[in-house]
Amino acid sequence: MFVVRRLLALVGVLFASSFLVFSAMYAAPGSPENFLVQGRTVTPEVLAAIREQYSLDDPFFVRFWNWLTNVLQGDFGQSLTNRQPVGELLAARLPTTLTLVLLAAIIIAVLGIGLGIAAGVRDGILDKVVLLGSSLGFAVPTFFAALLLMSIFSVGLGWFPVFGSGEGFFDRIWHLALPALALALPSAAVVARITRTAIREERDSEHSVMATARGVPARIVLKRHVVRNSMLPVSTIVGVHIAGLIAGSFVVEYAFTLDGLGTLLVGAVQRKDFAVVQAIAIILVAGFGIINLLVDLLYKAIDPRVGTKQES
Amino acid sequence: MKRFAARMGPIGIVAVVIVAIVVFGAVLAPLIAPYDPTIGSVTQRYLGPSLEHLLGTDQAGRDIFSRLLWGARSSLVGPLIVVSITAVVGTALALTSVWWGGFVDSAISRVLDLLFAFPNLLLAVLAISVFGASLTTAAIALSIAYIPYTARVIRSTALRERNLPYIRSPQLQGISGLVITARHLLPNVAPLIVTGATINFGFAMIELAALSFLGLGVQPPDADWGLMVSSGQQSLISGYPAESILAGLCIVITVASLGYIGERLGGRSAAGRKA
Amino acid sequence: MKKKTVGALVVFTLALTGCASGTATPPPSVSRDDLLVTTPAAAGELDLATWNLPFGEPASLDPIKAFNYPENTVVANLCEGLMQLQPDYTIEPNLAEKVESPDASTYVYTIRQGVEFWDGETMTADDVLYSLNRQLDPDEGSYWAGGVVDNIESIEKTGDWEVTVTLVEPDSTFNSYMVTPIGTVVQQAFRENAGEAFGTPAGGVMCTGPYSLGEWDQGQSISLMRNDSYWNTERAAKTAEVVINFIVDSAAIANALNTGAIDGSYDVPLGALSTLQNSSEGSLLLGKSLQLVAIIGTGNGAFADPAVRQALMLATDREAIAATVFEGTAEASRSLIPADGWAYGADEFEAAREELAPTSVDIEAAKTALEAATVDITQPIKIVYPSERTYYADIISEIANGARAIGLTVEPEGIPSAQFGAFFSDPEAREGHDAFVTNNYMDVPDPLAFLRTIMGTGGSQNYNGYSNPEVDELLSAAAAASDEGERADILNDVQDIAMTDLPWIPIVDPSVRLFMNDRVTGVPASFVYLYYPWAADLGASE
Repeated sequence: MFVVRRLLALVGVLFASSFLVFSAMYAAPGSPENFLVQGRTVTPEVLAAIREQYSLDDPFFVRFWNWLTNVLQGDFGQSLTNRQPVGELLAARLPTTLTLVLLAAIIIAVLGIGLGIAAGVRDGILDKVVLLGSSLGFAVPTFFAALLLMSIFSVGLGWFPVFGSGEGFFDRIWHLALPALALALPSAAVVARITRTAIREERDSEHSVMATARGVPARIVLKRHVVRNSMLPVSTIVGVHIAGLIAGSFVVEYAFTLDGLGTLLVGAVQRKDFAVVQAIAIILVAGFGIINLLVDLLYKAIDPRVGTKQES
Repeated sequence: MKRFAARMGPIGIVAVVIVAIVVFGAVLAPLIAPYDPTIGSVTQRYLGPSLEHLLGTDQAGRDIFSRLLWGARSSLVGPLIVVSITAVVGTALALTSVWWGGFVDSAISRVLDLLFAFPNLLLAVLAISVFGASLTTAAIALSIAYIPYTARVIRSTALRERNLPYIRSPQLQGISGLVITARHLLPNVAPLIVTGATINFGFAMIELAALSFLGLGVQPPDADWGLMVSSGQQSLISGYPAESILAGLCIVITVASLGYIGERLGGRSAAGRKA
Repeated sequence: MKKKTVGALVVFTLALTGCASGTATPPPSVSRDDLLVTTPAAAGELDLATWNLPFGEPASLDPIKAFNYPENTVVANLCEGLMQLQPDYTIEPNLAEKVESPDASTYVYTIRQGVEFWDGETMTADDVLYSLNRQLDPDEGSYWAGGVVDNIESIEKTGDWEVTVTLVEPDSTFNSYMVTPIGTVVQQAFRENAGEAFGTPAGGVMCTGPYSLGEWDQGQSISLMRNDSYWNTERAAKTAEVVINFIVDSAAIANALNTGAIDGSYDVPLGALSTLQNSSEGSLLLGKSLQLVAIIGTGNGAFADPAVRQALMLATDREAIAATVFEGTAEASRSLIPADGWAYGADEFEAAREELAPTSVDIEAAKTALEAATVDITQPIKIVYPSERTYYADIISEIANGARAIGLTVEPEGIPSAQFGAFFSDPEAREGHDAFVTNNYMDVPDPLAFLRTIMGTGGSQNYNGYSNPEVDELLSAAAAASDEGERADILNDVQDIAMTDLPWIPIVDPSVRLFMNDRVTGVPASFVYLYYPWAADLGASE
């Protein structure tokens, strides 16, 4: 029931946001047919023909309605710039963005939680290093991390390729390794930090201390009490950051010249390529919404006592 | 003062000093910057550090040190706008929501939910396409994206407080909601607002820098740290990494210091949680 | 611990900045005589070569929509015109066996027989007729419409293998346009079948060129496959497959070329020059070009006054721009006609060029010129440029320096590249701005064709409403002149007016910047790669 309600809410949000996006594109100055021809002059007749072809002169609501009905039938329209079906355009670029986000998510989860647990569980050098690293790490903007990684590992050492997203499973991972790392770095730092803190709090918490006093072996205390209980705040943070990755991937795609959705979106917005912007916006909002839903479900699974997020 | 120092700890003191230096640099830039940050001649490009140019020049022959100083201004003003708008509007919405309850609360919550669902960057990109790329547009767009987070946190805390006797009692006596909110509710959520603002400042700084990096925020030839990282990329490839690296480091050091301060102020590990 | 780290960082940073100490010495300027026309011919064949389009992915491969760097660079290898431009700027018959022009308004093309499209179908005069007529059909929406095309009165099939074009007004340059997509031939049946999808990855194209369209992997690459039944056996392609990438980021391009991931590229970005000049993977070559970087006036603000434009040109250190921003790969512009931008009348054009004002800075002359200004010179002049291309900002910044020396204020204004293009087609976009930059080029090596678009009343590149009856008369006379020497003389008169009225301020004449990996060679070095099948000459160095 909960899930159904959330999905319905998501649909409502999608509708409202697509209306918002459409209005924004409509209100933005400039007209798309002028952005089509890059720096060379075309006659007004050609421009008029383009407007005609894409019904750019129809009133606002007519266009929105047409777009909406088409989308519900699975037709996302055509890109003004490439004269191609938007569906095809996106399908070509989606894998890169998805792989990038997935890789980054894995890095955040593994590196962040791993280091956080390691630091939280014992005191010593590792703890200090993680503490320092995370204090600085979260302050490193993704684009700066991208720049540094690229200049050191791609240009300097030549260990990683410089552009493109590769073909085939392993090649793709090799190409996306640095971008994913750049994307994941700040979030991983935050997750490590939160995990460490949560672990420490649990370590010092009453029931953990009691369990140890009772003679329960340290390792079991660790697993059953400390780690398990800290997963709640940790998973929330991980979820929030993974949801934020989708938007963060733009910057990385731009810096590494990847053919993902981010670069497509920025260009499409600037060129007022309506159909493309709408479609990508929907994907972003839907993706964001679904990830948040999954995080909430995970939250509930870990601790069934917790109610829905909205009530306080 | 002493209590503050004790709360900060030795590292915190360093952080405060760093932030103070940045702020002073930004405020005093017109007076202490040796050169105009936007003027340079290509015949003076890529000079190394010297007495005339403390950190050298960039690809257009502009003094990097002056640009970093002036860049501090836009890099600080932007987040300041964001944090101010977010704090004011977010708190106002949250308190209104809590005070009136019922329909008003639901309505406001629905609107905030809609904003929640929007990835920040998408909102910024759209706003900028309508209003043109500039620091102000980017800052306002980002504020709108941050408001739901602040509003939600303030709302939860305020909800708890709302039903406590010290609020209920004056209400029953007929004192106006505005007065009660301002006099009693607000001071109790104030620390939360401050901590949140400090942390949001750091985030805003990075996100605004990212927008400038993408060409959607501060426009060249103005100086801005995020913009300098982006426009310095060319120079980096040509073998002159100074501009990008120095500007990037400025961002890292400032945000890290702010994060540390926010953490010490908030008492808990607040790094990363959008308050 | 934090203090120590900060300290270490500071040291590290200073060390980095220390890496680049001293003034960067600009490389010596390449003299015009050293610019190349061709590269050493290929010695052998290759299975695969990779290339790059620095201006991005083509939006379409339909020749009538190919009207800019990315599209033309690819289409030139796939589709062919009735005539073909050669690396030395001469024009040879191609799909037309010969052309006869009884007068400057009539052109009779004898169509070559025995030419096959990639699918094996024979090219007929009907295909030629159909292709040429597409330019005139408003429903086709050809980007080449207007200008020369508007002057076409009719295109008719006047024999089994003969097509005749009749013009409205006499124009002796018309035939040279047959090397551009105006004269390109596509298969009628295929195009009609493909409909809307023609030119897109889904629909493809059907032409007669030395390469056919292989796979178009959007956002990544286009591959060209050798056409083994190409009609011109002497000019058959030497490389079996050429994969063309679309990297636009200059850092990524530099890295790709420098690591050998990509074999070559034209229009190497300025930011990549220093890396590539010292590359051990290949060489950076400079070729004769038809390009021009200029500032175009919109007719608004102080920039609208010719005296102001004269003053700015004299006050700006254009030679420094050529030496630093272009790292010696460009020459300060002497004229609105790019250096060597002619395939005839060389003596006349060279001589007149020498008479023009020199390109060095002259502040005194600038101040004198400014005295004749009638506009309010205190208003700042805003010059617009595409914000992603930072080298324009450097150029405008240098103009601003010159302006400051004579009491004018110039400010750069960046606009996203995606929107900058609108300046060239939308008068509304130009409102509120005084000037904008252009990296322009001559379509054909004929000053008449170029000047006509800029200075003729209603010219396609006449953005500030420039209208001078004397110029219009001279242009018509030049178009009617069949003697090339005479035409050159008339055009020199136009050039003089151009350099006085300065509808555009010419800044530099860039050379072609070509990078080739040591393992490949053969492509032309001159600015013909938009209309000449350069990939067919690409082959192994040894």
